[in-house]
Amino acid sequence: MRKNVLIMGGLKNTSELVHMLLENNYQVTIVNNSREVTKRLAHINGITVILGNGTNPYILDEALASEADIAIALTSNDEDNLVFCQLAKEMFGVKRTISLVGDSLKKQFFYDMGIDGVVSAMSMISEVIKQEAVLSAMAHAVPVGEGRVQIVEVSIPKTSPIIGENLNDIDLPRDVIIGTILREDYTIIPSGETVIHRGDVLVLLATNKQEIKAIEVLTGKESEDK
Amino acid sequence: MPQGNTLIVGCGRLGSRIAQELSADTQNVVIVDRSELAFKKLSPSFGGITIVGDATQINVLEEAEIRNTTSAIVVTDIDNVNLLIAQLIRHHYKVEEIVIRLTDPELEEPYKDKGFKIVCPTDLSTAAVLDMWEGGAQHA
Repeated sequence: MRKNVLIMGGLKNTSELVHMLLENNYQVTIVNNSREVTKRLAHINGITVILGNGTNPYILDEALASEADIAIALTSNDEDNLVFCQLAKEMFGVKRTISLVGDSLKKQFFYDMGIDGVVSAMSMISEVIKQEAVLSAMAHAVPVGEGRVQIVEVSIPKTSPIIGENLNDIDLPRDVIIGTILREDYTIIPSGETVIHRGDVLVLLATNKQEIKAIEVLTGKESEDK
Repeated sequence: MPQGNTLIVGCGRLGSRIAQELSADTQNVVIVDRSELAFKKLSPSFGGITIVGDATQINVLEEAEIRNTTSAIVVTDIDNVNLLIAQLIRHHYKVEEIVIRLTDPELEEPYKDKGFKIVCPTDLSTAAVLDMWEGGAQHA
């Protein structure tokens, strides 16, 4: 039984989303207030496109909202997104609602109003920036070989989970080797039995973008990707 | 007894008239509108505070002293804006006395139990017009 998705709004990003949904065997209906956008979307085969205001109960009726399993609000107006999702759920029985929210301070409020999934572009960018800041505070990376290899210096903080462990026992990604350990005035070429101390600076060689994973393992700072 | 503010959102014809009346009545009135020009509708005797901004934004509500607000009247031109603001200030800021304007009568039913009162000009006008209309009486 194919699942039914009802989308309101969206500009340039919508057709990509629509194609993804069609590939995953969803049935798609779009409601959009812009004649230009609806004309463009109408070219996509197999979807229903309705020109109108998705927060108008009469239009939601036309769009067969009561048959939708998921309602997605993509306009740039928080108020329209909120009302669309609330009407979809409360008036038309749509089980799952997802909404963009522009004001990240209102993210929790949207959840409290019964919206199931809330996406704030600004919150996501803040998280990525925070991650970058955390990671760059922990490590220093130099690209070589046209960026195919990173030489990374990682300081082992006192909170690191691998302090006291053998290199053999540490679960580093395959594409990472520990070239040298700098410990106070010593430069150690490590073997599998070398034990990591707090304050050690590990110099790694990493390929295939595995340096972030390696840093997480060595310092215990988790990336927030879930 | 110390009294909180009355927040009015929207300084259109309706909002500005309400603001005048309440301000004359010694309520502490804070009125918010997206456009500074809207406040020209207020007479010089208006004793309240005006704030320029979009009241769907939390930072604007904070600037409008929402934490000291005990009642709100939400009367912008846009139903969805009024609905968002009413729910936001009720849920997030626990303002108890809220009245909003909704132009679309179809939105009254789904939003009737959300903790705010709704005034629908369409309903009021229909009643008033039919009341004034004497066409039916002649056929009685």
